[in-house]
Amino acid sequence: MCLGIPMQVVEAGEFVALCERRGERRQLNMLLVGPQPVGTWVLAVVDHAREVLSPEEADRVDRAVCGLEALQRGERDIDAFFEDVELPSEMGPPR
Amino acid sequence: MGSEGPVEGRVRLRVEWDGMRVLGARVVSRRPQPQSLLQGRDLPAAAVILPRLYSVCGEAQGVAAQALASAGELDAARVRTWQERLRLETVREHLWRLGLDWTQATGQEPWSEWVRTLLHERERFLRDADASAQWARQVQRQLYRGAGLETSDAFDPDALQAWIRASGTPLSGLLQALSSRLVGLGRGRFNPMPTGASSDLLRELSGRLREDPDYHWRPDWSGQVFEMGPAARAEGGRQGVGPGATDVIDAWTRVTARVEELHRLLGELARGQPATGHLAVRVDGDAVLVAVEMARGTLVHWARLDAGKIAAYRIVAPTEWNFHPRGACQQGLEGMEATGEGVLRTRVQHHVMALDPCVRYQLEVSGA
Repeated sequence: MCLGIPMQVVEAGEFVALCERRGERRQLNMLLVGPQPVGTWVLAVVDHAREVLSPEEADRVDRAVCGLEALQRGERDIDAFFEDVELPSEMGPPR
Repeated sequence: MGSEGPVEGRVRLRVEWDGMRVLGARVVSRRPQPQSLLQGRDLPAAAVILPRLYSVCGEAQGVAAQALASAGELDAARVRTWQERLRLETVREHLWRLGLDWTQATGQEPWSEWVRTLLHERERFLRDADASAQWARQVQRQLYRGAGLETSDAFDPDALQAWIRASGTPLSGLLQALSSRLVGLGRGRFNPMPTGASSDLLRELSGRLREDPDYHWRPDWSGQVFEMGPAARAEGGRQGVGPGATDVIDAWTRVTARVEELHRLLGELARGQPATGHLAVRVDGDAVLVAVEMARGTLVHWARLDAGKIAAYRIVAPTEWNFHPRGACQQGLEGMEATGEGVLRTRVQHHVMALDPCVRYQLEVSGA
């Protein structure tokens, strides 16, 4: 049940990169995604960058995580974080 | 859950250590639950939100949420696709733990290419059984070469030991490095969850989740806390259904069970056999429960509906069983021997890695 957190590379490295999300910085292992230039969005899973995200994907996951963080702060109105979720098209074809 | 700490949550371990051995251990696992995110939405929305958030095991979370949304209308073709997705995710998780985490913990060269392939080729492998079979054969040859292990699913301990000594694969090298570290580590009573989420378990879970809003933090089954994961699956399968404490277990047994299960799953893929992972649904009036078998154990989603909208939604993850205050992690910490704090921290790390939580842990040591 671990969350994946979108983070942006701020200092590139071959094996490890310094990544940031909303002021929080982490050293991420880049083995699974390879070296990435500054500005690239990656999905951080524990200490690994698991995959490269497009800015749009990063934004979508980031808003979901922000919704969870808002709840943890005690906020109740979180619909804005999930405005796109009710669209039936996002369910896609049956898997 | 408070707002302090990482949004992912974490497992907190507190051990009392006298400089020689651990005298007492407390385990607290608190992670964000999606309940408040989902209240008032419909089940298909949950099937979109949950994989987006919980992406480590995103396939399992997605499958569980989709099965919940389609409860009562599960067609066989859809279940087969879900089982294939779960199997590929389990293979990926096993390769990740062994090839990235354990190699890193022992200072060995990581092998990440197969995890990368599975991350990038998952959808193709789901469509193309020949492609996944060819890939699985390659991985099996490179990891399990020698001693007949590449052709047999049987994996007896003597054969394993002989293979580790004789073979020169990245995996046998890793196991050689691990055996001295892990044999006897985190030794505790082994109480494996019976395989296949029996109807008794599902009935109890459904009832307890309805009655107790905090049940998912500290699950038990008739008062017993079971271990989940590859070792439990292997032992539970041998035992059949029905709870019952058995023998003892250590970190080595847990890791080699993962090695064994990976071998079996690669063999299935290589032979083009369909996935058979367990997936069960139970409907109790206005509530639905889904249990799916994933890499770390049985993942349970439960939802109670009110006029078609989610009134309550809870997830019971395998980490909640293994890192229960009375669970396998706590039992393995009690009595752990270590003659220095650095040694203690390393041994705890290996014990925790063998149990495979899906979040980071924090260790507090007192009493030295």
